[in-house]
Amino acid sequence: MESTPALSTALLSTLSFALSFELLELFFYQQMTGTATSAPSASFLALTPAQQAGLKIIGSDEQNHVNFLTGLFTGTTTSAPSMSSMRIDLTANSIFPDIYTNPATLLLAAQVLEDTSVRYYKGQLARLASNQTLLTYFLDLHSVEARHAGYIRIIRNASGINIKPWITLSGNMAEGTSINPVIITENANLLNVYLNEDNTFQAQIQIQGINGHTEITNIAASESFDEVLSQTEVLAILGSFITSGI
Amino acid sequence: MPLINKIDRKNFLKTSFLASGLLLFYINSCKKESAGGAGEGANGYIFGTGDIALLNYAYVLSQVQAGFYTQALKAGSVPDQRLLLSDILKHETAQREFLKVALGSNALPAMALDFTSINFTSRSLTLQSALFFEDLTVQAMNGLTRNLQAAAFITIMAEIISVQARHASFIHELVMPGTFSGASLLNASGMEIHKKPAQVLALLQGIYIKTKLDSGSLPSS
Repeated sequence: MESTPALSTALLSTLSFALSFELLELFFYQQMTGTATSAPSASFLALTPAQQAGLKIIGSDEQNHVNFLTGLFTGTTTSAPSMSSMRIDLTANSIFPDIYTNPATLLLAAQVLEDTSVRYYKGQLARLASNQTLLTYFLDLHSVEARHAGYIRIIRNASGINIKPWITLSGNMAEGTSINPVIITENANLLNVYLNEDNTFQAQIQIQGINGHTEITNIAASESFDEVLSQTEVLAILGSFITSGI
Repeated sequence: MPLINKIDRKNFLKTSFLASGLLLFYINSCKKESAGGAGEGANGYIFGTGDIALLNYAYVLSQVQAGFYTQALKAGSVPDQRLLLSDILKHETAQREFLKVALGSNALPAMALDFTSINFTSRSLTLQSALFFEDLTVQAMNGLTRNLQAAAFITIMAEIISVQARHASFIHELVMPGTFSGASLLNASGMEIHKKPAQVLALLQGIYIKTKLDSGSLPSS
């Protein structure tokens, strides 16, 4: 592992948040796919063998992320968050009440976690501009979370849900179709998962119809650029899952 | 839409993207300061200096991707995925045109592209090539974004990178299901293996990019 330069309190706090998020993801995949000491959930066992293998790959990536980020706390005076320092509720305060038994709910929650983690890492990058080591770490974590998010969306599509690998407008799964009523109507904490994803301006440049390209509709323009969330906005979403310790 | 709403929206966007406006100013000032801006040199087109060079490099990568999908869709050997492949072409086009506008007079010209080495009549060879371009673009863009100085452009490049990574997973699932992530693609910490500009351009120049490029001003790591 590359050595990490001395970290300020602010950067250690950023790393703590990132690690807490990765721990949540790891806990989710452990609970769903099972571990050496715990059985897989019924919702996981209802997925196809290929989908089960896919989720195990993601879980293994998240374990590696946790190990990596935990290692960055070595030699600092801050103690790294760990699973035992957090209380996690995968039903997210009953937004996903049947997550352990219903495969559709499992995959919906996976999508929320993966898409939000992409938005989280992206939102931290500007703050890391002056620390190339951490900037590189976060970039190299960010794109992997986006690979995961794309995959989860693909297998949700295969299970009959009208959704693309990329984010259309403010979470709309298809043109003109409301994304998923669970997120939109049932819990205010999850309203912000796709907040501002319908933006079509980048650096004040209108992407819709750019340079005469009429095929770049507002839908294509929104899909072409993913959007950030601030740590505060991310916390509002994660607060449903992590009941204490973040 | 009523005019008043239009104005409100415009003002809202102006406020929210004030930082980005400063960014375009920054790009222009780079242009004035740099003695060796982008343009044609003795050894080919020069990418420019600093962030301009990196954004021109991103612009070249997006030209290659858009060029590839234009050819692939024209050949039509993957008819069952036409809708999502058309989406990808739109994304590549939007990203390419965004970079062109952002770079303004510092933008490199349209590259002469050559995809004759790809057998577009074959579904599997077309998708394998797509896989190569998508993974390479993610790895290349991570490699370039870590070298950018302007925070706002770091964010915008990441907005592009995550869309590229979504493309990559989609193509992986078509070519070889279960290879979208994991040990076969990532390092031991489950992180992207970013690539240096020289590594990337060696795989593209002379094969897919026929325009002569002088990559001397791009970072070496």
